[in-house]
Amino acid sequence: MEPCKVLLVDDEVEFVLALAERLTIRGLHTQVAHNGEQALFVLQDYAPDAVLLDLKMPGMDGLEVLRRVKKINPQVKVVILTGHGSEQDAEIAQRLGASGYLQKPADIGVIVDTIKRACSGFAD
Amino acid sequence: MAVKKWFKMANLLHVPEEGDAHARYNILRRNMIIIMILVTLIPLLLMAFVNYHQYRTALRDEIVNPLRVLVNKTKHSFELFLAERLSTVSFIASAYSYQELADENTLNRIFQVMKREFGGFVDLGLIDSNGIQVSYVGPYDLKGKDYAEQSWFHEVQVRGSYISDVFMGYRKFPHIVMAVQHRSLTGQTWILRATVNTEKFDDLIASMGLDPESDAFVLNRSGVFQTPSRFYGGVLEQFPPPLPPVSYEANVIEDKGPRGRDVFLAYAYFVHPAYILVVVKPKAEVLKTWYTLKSELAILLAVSSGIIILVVYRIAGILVRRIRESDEKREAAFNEMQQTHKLSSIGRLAAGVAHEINNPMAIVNEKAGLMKDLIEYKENFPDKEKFLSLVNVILQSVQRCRSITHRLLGFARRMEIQIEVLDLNEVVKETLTFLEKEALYRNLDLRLNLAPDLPRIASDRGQLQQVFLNFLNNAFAAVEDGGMVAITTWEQDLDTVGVSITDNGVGMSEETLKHIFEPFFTTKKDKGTGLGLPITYGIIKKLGGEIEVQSKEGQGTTMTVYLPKKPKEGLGG
Amino acid sequence: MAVDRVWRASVEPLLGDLDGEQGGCPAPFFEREQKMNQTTARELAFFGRITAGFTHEIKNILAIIKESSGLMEDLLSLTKDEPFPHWERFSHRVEVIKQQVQRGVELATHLNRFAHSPDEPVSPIDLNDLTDQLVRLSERFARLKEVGLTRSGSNASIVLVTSPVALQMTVFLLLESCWNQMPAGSAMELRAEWRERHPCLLVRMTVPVDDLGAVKQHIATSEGFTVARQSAHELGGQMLDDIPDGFALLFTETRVDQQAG
Repeated sequence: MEPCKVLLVDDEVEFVLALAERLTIRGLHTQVAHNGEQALFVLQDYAPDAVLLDLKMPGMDGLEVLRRVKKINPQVKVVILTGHGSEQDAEIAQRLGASGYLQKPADIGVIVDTIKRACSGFAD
Repeated sequence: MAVKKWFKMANLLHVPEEGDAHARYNILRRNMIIIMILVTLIPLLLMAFVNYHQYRTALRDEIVNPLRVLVNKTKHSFELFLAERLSTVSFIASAYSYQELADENTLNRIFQVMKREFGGFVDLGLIDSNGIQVSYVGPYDLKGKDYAEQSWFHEVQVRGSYISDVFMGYRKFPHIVMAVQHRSLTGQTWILRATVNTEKFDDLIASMGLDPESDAFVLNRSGVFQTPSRFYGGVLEQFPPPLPPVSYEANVIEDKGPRGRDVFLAYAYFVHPAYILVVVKPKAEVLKTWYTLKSELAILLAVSSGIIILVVYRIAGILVRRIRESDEKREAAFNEMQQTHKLSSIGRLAAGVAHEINNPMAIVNEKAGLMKDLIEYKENFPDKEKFLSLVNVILQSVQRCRSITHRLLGFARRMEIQIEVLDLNEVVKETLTFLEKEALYRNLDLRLNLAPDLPRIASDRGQLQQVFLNFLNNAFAAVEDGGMVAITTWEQDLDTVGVSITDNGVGMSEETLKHIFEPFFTTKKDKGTGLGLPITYGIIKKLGGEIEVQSKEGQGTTMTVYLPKKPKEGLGG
Repeated sequence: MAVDRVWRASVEPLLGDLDGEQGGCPAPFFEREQKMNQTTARELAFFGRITAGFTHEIKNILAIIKESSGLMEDLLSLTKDEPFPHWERFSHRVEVIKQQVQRGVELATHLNRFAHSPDEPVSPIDLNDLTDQLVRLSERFARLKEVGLTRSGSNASIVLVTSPVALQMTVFLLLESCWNQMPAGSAMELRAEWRERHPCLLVRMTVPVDDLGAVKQHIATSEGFTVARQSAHELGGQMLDDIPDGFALLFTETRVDQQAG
């Protein structure tokens, strides 16, 4: 089975790089973007199975990125990972088709599980 | 229970502490009005009442006394007249002997002299001790008439003299009869009897000079008119009972006169003969001045009462409003104190916890530092670069964590003034870090025009941070995403520096602008304004500075703060 | 799951909600009290906003540390088969860092919950949760005064429906006025229970001196306690200072969520 391809979108560079590497170690294929525009750009070539997305970012905000990702490719699973989460945001994200909602900092095991579930199509 | 309630109601000094504030002040006001009206109006009314009575008495005396004097004087004139006539008769009775008087010629001569000298005598006769008319001079033929059985004959025998009531005698003129008994040295007694017409009575009454509304007359003890009256009737008619009470001194009573008029009745009883002199004066006439005075008094009372009530009402209103305002101020001050206390407790709590986060961070820092040493000093450390960069990331993160904790602590410490020498530009930048993220997310155009050589000022870092945060918050709230917020600092003059925060947001109306520093003021539309601005104002005042606001609806707002380089006197630090 | 309870964090509507209730003119007297509370609520919301931003930021940073140290752990575990000198010490340190990050996360989470308490003007609050949170948050203060602060849980669920922030403030002020006056070496225990059929927060104190009464007297006359007493009153509660070994906050008039109980 091909490794699950994940696009990590977060403006905290160190965070997203470390997390990408850890996910790689755990057998996932990763690519990072530091803001929404980059993410949408990367999305074109990379065609990930899942996107791990921060909500609060400079410029285009996470919900907007989610909306556009789903528009470009509804098959892509999106998991939200944010430190600024509100119930409202969680609801909106779910309505926009997000497959998971995680609070920063989350346990690496939980992140991996959530992404893998999303990839394999058992997302809730 | 009802009594108790009533008592409570009556206790005007009692204002309930509990209950609706509005009702409480209304009760206070009501009680105040009632008390003030009572204490002012009761003495006033009492004084008016006393004055009324005193005036009335005084005025009455003033009116009544002359009346009394008049009655007395006239009474004396009457008495004098009667006594004179009586003494004339008495003189003749004693000056002449019985034989002389029994002689009609002599009697006639005497009678002629009497008529000439005294006037008013109508006849003269001598009556012996048996009551037989011995001699008579006059218009009637009374010689030989026997008076032995008549009452006046007995009276004159007992008292020595007699004056009759008025009767209609000769030619239908009113007359009186006088009789004097004389006892000679030999013990022989005789009676000299004279008739006198009462024209003189009318003269005496006329001499009183009464006004046409008044009346004066003489009554006998049975209330029969002895002289004609203007309003009551003619001679020998009956005075409507009752007769005034017996008084030999002139007396004045109030009575109902003919035609139902209120009158003063001044009168005096004669000792002898049994006459009553009466003067009747209508009250209205007499009391005309009194009535004027009375109505003036009433008007004065009514007007002054009205003024008092009005003034009391207004004063009570003003007083209660003042009380209320000072209550409110006190309450507001108390509340503010309490709120500050509560808020500062929240601040302390948050700051404490933020501080607490530094503890694990310190350990992380320690461990990461040790790891860095290990990596750096071990030549053969695998993946050296990788580990080193990760450790550095951790160390930087700890540093970042520490600096934002420090900022929160600074923010939480804002409750008390702590003066230090500081760089205002630095404070502005520090404050901005709180909102940097938001500015970034909302794509705000943040412009910093900070004067590079801005002099350092002595002020309170935490408080200034709060002020700037407040202004920046308002500015952020006022602008759309992508809007512009500019912060400028400059040196205003030798003692002052200025900071302004400008936005190109919704702005404020003139009306809003007027009120924004008022406590409790909020507007519906401008949700950016009103947040803590009164507090901000207070802080700036405390720090000895000034605030200036310029705003135009739809164009934006500029908040300018002028701060002294040195703090106000009396501030710590 | 690592997903802790998601709290409403949107700040703009918070400030917006608070404005605009009243018209333009200065309000008449009896409305002012309300206004005053609104001003306070606004300030609290403002403060909450700052603190919430702070905790989110802290969580972000903790996430970086966590992932960085996690990556190191991963890398170390890859080299497990060929351990280098100090491998043990190194991985031990990574472990310590992970633990400390967890500690920081917990604190930030509590502070975050606390910062969001002004969000809801009135909401159901479990007194046991409240004591737990407050004891965790304020442990440090007591520690600095060398006063032990613990809580003892009770099985009964006691849920009040009131203003969370006002309740927290009140209890914190009460606790604070206690440890400010208690001698070093004292201990206090916070406990929620039913008392005379009313919900009750009990502060039991043990002091290393003979005269607990004098200590209580000092506490009861302090300014903080006075404000706490007043706030308790506003919440529909009473501060009892006549219980033998401490104080009690008895909620006689406060709404109790019966369903939860």
